[in-house]
Amino acid sequence: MVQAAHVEGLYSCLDYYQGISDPFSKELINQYNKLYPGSAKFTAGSACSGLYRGLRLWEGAVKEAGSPRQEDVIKALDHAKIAEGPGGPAEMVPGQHHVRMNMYIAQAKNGNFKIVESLGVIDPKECMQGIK
Amino acid sequence: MKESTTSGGRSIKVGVITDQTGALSFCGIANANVAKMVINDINASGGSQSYEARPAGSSRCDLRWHLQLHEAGYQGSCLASRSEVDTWSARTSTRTS
Repeated sequence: MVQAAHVEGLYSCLDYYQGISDPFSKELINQYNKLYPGSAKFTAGSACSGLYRGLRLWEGAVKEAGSPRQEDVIKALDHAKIAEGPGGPAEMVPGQHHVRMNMYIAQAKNGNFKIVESLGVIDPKECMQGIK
Repeated sequence: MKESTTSGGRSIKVGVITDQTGALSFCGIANANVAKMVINDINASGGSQSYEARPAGSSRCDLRWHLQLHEAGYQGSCLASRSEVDTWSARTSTRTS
């Protein structure tokens, strides 16, 4: 891990920070910290927010499909959405395998990231350059 | 991960690949914690349509991981169809060749 002093003042852009103040995000971080106190923190940089979102989207897809059958879940997952999640709601962009969700810019201050701008909902704008 | 009890004999195995030891364990342990937390929440609210989610072996809903698992002989499920895996594989080989 990089020491806090080494990143002081640096900016970061991610989908979730612990300082996000919407009720669900606050409830979620409180739940996690209560269940798992210690050094393994719930952060976006460690993929926790993405994993949470992915599992909840999968849950929604299984419920819509009414079955865990792979092909049915894939179809439902293509347009799955969650009303609440770390950083806000999220939804799959049909046909892209990417998620439309909120993004934030934050700055490192004394070992924590302070949100300096909420960018709102961002489209994934999948870049296919170099793949085709 | 430790498996939870089943509900009515029907369950869905859910797996993630994370680093539980080593330099990246600060991420991997947190990821495993999140998976267990979400699965417990899903089951506490009734499961996914009478199915119970269970933490299980190794799987990840990502084409690259699925390819690696598939090449290693893994036969489990993935949120990618066979055709998607083949397409991704062809793109990868084109880029790397």
